[in-house]
Amino acid sequence: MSKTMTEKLLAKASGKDAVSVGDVVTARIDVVSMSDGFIDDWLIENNLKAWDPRRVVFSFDHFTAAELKWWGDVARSREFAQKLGVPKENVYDVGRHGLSHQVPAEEGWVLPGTFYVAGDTQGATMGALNCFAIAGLFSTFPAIATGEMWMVVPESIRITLTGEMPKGILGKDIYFRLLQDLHGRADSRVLEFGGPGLQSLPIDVRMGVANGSNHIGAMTSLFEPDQRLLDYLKPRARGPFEPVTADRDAKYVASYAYDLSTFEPLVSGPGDISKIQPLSEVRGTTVQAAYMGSCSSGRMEDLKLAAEVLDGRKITPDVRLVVTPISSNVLRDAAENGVLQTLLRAGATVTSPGCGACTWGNQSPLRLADGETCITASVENYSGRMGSDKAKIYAANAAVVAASALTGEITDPRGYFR
Amino acid sequence: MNTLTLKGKVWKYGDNLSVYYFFPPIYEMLGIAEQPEELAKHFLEEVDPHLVRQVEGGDVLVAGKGFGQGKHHFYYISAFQELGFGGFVAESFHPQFQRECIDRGIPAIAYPDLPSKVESGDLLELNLRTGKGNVLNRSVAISLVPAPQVLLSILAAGGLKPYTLQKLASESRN
Repeated sequence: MSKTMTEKLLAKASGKDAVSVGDVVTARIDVVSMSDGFIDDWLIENNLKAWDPRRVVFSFDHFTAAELKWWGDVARSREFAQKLGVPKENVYDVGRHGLSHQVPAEEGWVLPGTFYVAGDTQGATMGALNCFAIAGLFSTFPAIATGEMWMVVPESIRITLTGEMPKGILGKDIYFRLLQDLHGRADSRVLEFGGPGLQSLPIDVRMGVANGSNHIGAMTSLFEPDQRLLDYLKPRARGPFEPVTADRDAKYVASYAYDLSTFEPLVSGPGDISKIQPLSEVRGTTVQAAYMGSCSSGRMEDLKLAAEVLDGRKITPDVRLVVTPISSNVLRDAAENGVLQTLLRAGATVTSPGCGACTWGNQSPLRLADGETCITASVENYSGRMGSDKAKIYAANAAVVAASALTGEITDPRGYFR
Repeated sequence: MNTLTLKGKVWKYGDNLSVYYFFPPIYEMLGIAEQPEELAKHFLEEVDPHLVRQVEGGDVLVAGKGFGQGKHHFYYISAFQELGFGGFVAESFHPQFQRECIDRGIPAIAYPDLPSKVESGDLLELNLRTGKGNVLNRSVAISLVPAPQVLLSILAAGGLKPYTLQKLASESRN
């Protein structure tokens, strides 16, 4: 019988020849990705180690201030990783740090055809790399001890992409449009992306799309493999892998087709990620703060497009533009390829990699004050998320953020490319 | 309590219901959602504020497809538990809702054929291990497949953590 990518991946992970929607299986985990601050003493109290410490990766990213008491700190996370037996080279500590939804991909831990569990909510991001990636949340801790997770094989929705992504569009615009169009229909399901349009999407952009899975309501997203993915993996894959593709007659609960050339910049908010509007509807809204960073932006494709907008220009003194690269690797690459210089010359403040201001304005020069309005390329825009709960947050792609920092109001970046 | 048998009054609902239908999301913003005993008081208040008093220990919530939409399910599951609900049966579940129930030892089992057999107010008895049960007030026998073995094992242990400890202990003995 014809199978979706989801069915094939979960069959493989559970050691079965075939599985179908609704089957309950026990899947073997290939890699667990953890952030700092997400700790459960239950493992330590019961003297449990990771089932295979070489398959657990920690990426320190939140670095929250001590006043956020409900969130564990980095020092405890170092100790936690050590007690689980995780080798030092798997712990991406200061100097190698970055988002737990980026570093494992960059460092070649995430491979096509595998089953990947992240502790944090945005775990679906890695589905861009043709693996079954889910957010394990609190169930991640027992999974660390056993290397297993039970799964109900979910239904899938097929998203077929044609055409080419126009200049000025990033992953955010794609997932915002899906959020708007699918409204509730993707709930609990897997979005399987494929089609000839995929080749115009850099891996960074695919990760930006998959990052929005939980906002769309989907369990995860899963991208077909292609040459672009193989090229991305070639210098970094830590082992052999077998990509999966869907069978031609695989059964989907719904199918949607999109011509990428019809996409335009969208803006979400304020205060509600599912409130999506065309940029033209909020153009001209005054902003005091502009941000790119978090697991939803701050990748090289985001920074490069923002740098194209900012190249040779100065941001307005009425706005503070803060850029938090997603990882140490991206920061280093941006220093080497000139992107960092362009951002700094335009007047951006560039911080240490991490979640930055997206974690309640944590230790960031962006931190929003009462009455301010912010345009951000980060992942959440609910009230209080970036500082004061009396500030307004709009979310858009990194190019929109850059253009808005030049003018002091929400601005279409498409007039700024040279 | 034997979590492998559900026995209680049925509360029946349709498809794609969110946890926010039962507990308005405003209580998350107000910081009340973190306190199950407080959140529980607001059960279905937007539908009929008297309903909260009609929940009895062991009651079973039966729903259609995709039950348990929403986020931060742990708050809402705690509130259902505080009210006394013994478990959930639906045609299918929001995966995170189902995972958090099972992993905490609360039955949440998908039975596509059950919802059409019961109505709100029925007294349902269902053995999850055998799939056999009864609508007691109408003397209607129900025969379903047993719940998936891995879920039964986790529920029997009292949740994923105790299940994990038992499993690792038995593996180290072998």
